[in-house]
Amino acid sequence: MAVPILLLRRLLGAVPLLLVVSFVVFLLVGLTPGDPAARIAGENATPERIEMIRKSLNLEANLAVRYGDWLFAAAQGDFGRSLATSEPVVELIARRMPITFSLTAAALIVSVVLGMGGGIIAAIWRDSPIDRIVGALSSLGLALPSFWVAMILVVPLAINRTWFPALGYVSMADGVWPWLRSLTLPAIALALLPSAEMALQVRAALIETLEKDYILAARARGLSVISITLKHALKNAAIPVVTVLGFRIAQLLGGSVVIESVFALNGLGTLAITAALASDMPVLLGLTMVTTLAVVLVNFLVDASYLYFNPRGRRA
Amino acid sequence: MLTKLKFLLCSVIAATAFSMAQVPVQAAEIDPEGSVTMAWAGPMASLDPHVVPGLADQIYTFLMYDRLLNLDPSVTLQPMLAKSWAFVDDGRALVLQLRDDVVFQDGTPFNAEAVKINLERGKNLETSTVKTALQSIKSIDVVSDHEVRLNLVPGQGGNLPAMLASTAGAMISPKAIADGRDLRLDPRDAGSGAYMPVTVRPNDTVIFTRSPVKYWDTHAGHLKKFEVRFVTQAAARLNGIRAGQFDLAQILGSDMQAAKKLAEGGAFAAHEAQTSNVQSMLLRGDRENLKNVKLRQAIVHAIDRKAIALAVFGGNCQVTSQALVDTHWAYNKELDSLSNYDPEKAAALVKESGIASPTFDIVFSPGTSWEPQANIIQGMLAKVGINAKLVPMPQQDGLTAVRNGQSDSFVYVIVGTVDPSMMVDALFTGGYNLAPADAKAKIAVMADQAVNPKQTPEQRAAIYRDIFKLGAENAWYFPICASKVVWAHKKNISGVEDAWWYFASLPDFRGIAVNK
Repeated sequence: MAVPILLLRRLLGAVPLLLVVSFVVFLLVGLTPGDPAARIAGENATPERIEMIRKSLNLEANLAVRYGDWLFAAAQGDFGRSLATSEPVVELIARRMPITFSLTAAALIVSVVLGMGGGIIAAIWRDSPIDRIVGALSSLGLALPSFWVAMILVVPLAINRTWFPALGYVSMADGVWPWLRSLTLPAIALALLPSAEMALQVRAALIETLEKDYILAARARGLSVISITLKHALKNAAIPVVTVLGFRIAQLLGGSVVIESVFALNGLGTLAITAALASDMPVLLGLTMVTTLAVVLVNFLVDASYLYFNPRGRRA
Repeated sequence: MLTKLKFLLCSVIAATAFSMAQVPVQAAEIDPEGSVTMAWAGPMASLDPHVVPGLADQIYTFLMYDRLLNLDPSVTLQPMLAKSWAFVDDGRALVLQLRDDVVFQDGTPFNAEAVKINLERGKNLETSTVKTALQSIKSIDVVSDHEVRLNLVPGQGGNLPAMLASTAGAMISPKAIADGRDLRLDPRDAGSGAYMPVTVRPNDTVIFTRSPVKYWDTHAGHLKKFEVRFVTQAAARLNGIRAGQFDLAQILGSDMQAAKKLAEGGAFAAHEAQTSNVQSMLLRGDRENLKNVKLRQAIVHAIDRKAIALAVFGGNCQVTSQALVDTHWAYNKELDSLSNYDPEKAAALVKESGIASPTFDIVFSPGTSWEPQANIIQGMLAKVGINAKLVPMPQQDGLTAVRNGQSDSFVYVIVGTVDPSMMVDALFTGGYNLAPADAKAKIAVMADQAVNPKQTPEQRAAIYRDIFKLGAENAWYFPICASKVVWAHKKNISGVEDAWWYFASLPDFRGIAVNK
């Protein structure tokens, strides 16, 4: 099968996934005990106001009808308005998306640099003190909660020394350096776990590859270990690493909820918290669609990368 | 003659009070280019003062809309856009004399017609959240350019002046109302206050600049820019002020202790404010499990409020017997002895109740400070032989369950209100419906008397004291402690300590300034 058709099939497979995810979210929010109209109306709302909200949200209609209405509008690009602030959901998400995506991208870069670097070093100098140091640091990275690391980083680097801001996001439009400064600490905190996991994964995959016959033959021809690793072994060890990376991107999006709170970054994570607390269904559904699409896109890229790293897959 | 005298007296008192009320920052010290970035825990959902679903919105709307009246730290009425006010014609109307030097931010003059348009909007707008507050107004007459007469529903309106100090009395430019634009998100120059919003990002940031027109109150509007940021985490707000990114930040909970220590060390200044937001236990006297008054009294005497204030709030919560600041005109000193901690008395009351194994449920919202409070209360009650079952529920659902009589009790916060009538309605005659039907009817009669404009302030106070005493004697409502809040600020910011409305935990910061 031709590569474009293969990739197109993968993309089309995302459509039923989006439908299922949106329906499950709709169902779960719908099954939450209590009256959503009362929750939205606030503490001191009159019964008339609650009734008015109930009518405006068509809460008397059954779940399937409400889902159908939402789906019909969403298919036309109308995700409704936030119940809490009346803002169009699309605008609300579009405003917050650059923050979360910048944070996730920065954390991903940190993860790849630290994880790949650590893993390669540990594999090349297997069983050496360097390998053990990388192993110990990876264990720490797996064990330490990201929010705790975030708080620990802030005191010496943002309060005692004002090298980085303690909180807040600076848009790239306000300068690349301020933007990078505002992302550094949150990205490090968020990247700790994926870096550790990737270092262990890269190490294991590389060690296995480095023991293959063609690598031993290359070494016999006098090529250096570093050269063999970077030119030949790394590409062959990449598939499990890329798979882990794909999973991790989805988790980075989820992890940003906590890190955004600690660093007061008003991205999709904090929006998700506020929307969940306010039972803001349109925003929750919009967020679910965006994150699902992001995960689908990442999985698609991972699949595409398999075809690059393993040419045999193109003929499958 | 008597009415005229009363009006005159009220005007004199009002004018005197006004001149004393504002504590001015020394003009020579103020930096006219000063700007403040404030971190606040409350989200902003609407900048329309007549459509404010959450209390937190008020801290934003106070900056941009002035109200007809105001409340000082002892929750006593003070003038604002109305210079004076008085009930006339045997309590059938409330007459307000308005300031003649006020202009809305869009240049529209403030006058009696503007007041009429605003109050009618608050009463009639379909989405209005201030309808109840204005329900005692029957009709509005423009007497002259700066005098307005609010004709009242017979027997109602004694609490109306206090309501006019809340967002219900906020004044929006009639031109902006006529424009029909969405004032929740796009108010621009619709305000009457010291500041005008130039950037509005709901649940994120609102940036205000000084009002573009000459502002009537020289003691406010000192800042060139006032940025209010919604920051959910108290630790992040504290870090922000430590790192110098915030000039003013609200610090709550366990971070208050750290903030006070840092302030003592000179890192910044801190103002500890007492609120009348009271951590409370609400007991439904009409529920089968809590019908017995002896049992309810036993519950009250079994709970050590000091221990809760210390264990849950690190002592940053003032033990209290009512949801009013102790300087409030309706505060009842008699109540303290009715709810003192006395486990022996509690055990004796359980015996007297005749219930073999008393059991009831306590609803609380998990993951909040109400969870440890509920846990501690459960332990304390077990010691006197009362079995409390803990029922975790999301906050709004817990509220609904108690209001609908589906749960016995609820651990929650009762927020400071502008007038005790609102609290009586919330606790006993409406809202939580804590009093059983017969007692509710009795309290309703008393509450109606209290809002009759014919009552003098002293008579109103006496009625509310009696109602709160009835609530305490019958142990329907059990206040635990009143929260404190620390406002951390840079040392060059002045006016924080003098801000009003700390009682509702919604300080009005329109008077703060940056010193040179």
